[in-house]
Amino acid sequence: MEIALIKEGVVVNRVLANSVEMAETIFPGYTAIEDDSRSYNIGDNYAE
Amino acid sequence: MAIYLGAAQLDSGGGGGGGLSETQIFTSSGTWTVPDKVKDEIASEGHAEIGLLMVGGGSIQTTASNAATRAGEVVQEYYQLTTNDYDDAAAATPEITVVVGAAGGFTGITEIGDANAPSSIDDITQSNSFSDTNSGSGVAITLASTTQTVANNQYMLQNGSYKPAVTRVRITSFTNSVGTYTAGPTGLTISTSGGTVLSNTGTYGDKDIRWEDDDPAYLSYITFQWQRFSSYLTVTATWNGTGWTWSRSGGDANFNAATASFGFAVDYVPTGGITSAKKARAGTDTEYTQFLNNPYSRDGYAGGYSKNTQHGTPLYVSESPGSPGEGGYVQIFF
Repeated sequence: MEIALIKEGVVVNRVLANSVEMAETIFPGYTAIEDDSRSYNIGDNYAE
Repeated sequence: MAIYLGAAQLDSGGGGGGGLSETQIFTSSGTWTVPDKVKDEIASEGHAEIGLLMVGGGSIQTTASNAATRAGEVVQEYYQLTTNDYDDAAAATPEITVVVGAAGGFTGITEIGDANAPSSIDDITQSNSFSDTNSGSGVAITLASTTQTVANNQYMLQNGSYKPAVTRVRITSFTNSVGTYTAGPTGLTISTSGGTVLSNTGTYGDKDIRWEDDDPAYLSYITFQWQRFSSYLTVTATWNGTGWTWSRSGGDANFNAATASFGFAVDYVPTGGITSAKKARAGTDTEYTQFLNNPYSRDGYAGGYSKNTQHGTPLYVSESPGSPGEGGYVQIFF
């Protein structure tokens, strides 16, 4: 699954992870959203 | 079969000893539990040498022959692992976060900074405006006296115990409404101390100054400069310890500005953030020319990683890690 990691409204990386929950466990403090559609690039704004 | 990292043999192959005989592969992000033999070596010697094969995610684009359709960076090297790389240096069973980038994302192992350093990524945005009442006697500027503080800014700007980590300055809201503004290389300057400028595109068009992640700038002031003929109007934002203050100098009757607004944003990545100690950049990274691998290689590297078959003929989609449209890869040898 492709995940967009978000910090303070900005996409900081796009990572592979087994699930959104797993991504949030691996990267505590970041918001993880599924992004298999590749809607977000690093640096994009995201309204949390 | 012997395992090589570049020209160096990682595994002992039964002869000579001292090789890196074990390996762990990550095809998605996860946590590497540092094996006892590595942990013990670090405890006794201060570091342990591991091998890293890391591949950044390929470009998101898979459009044939599109210039932005690039493969991810391939990084192969020995790395001296220390307790600083542990997620928790005091943990009895230390772990290290492994980042596997998706398409358009970077891959790496996460650097862990000082426990007192900020643990988040912040943006700082400052803006201001001025109006020119020029009547032939020179420009008059009214600057708002606002100051703005941000969380952890002391850490960000302190050139002391904690390494500040300003990695990029973006100029925002820099309007072109200064009527007779002359764009050019002197139209905008940003002054800093410390840090190695990775790319400097701080002309009017791009408004973007970047530094190496591992060698950030100690940002103390930013200067915006407009040029009109031989005269300069300079507006400087200076950090005073609690916020930014603004001042201006220069300018003469040649400036016939109407109203302009300007501002800047500072991106900084604190040492405890997601910045990776060792990183393999995505194919979308603007510094792709720094990759040691050719991101347009049709053969790929190290067994076919980052194979780019979007250029030339025949065209087909490669599913190799790091190829355009594909995620990255991490292999640790220890």
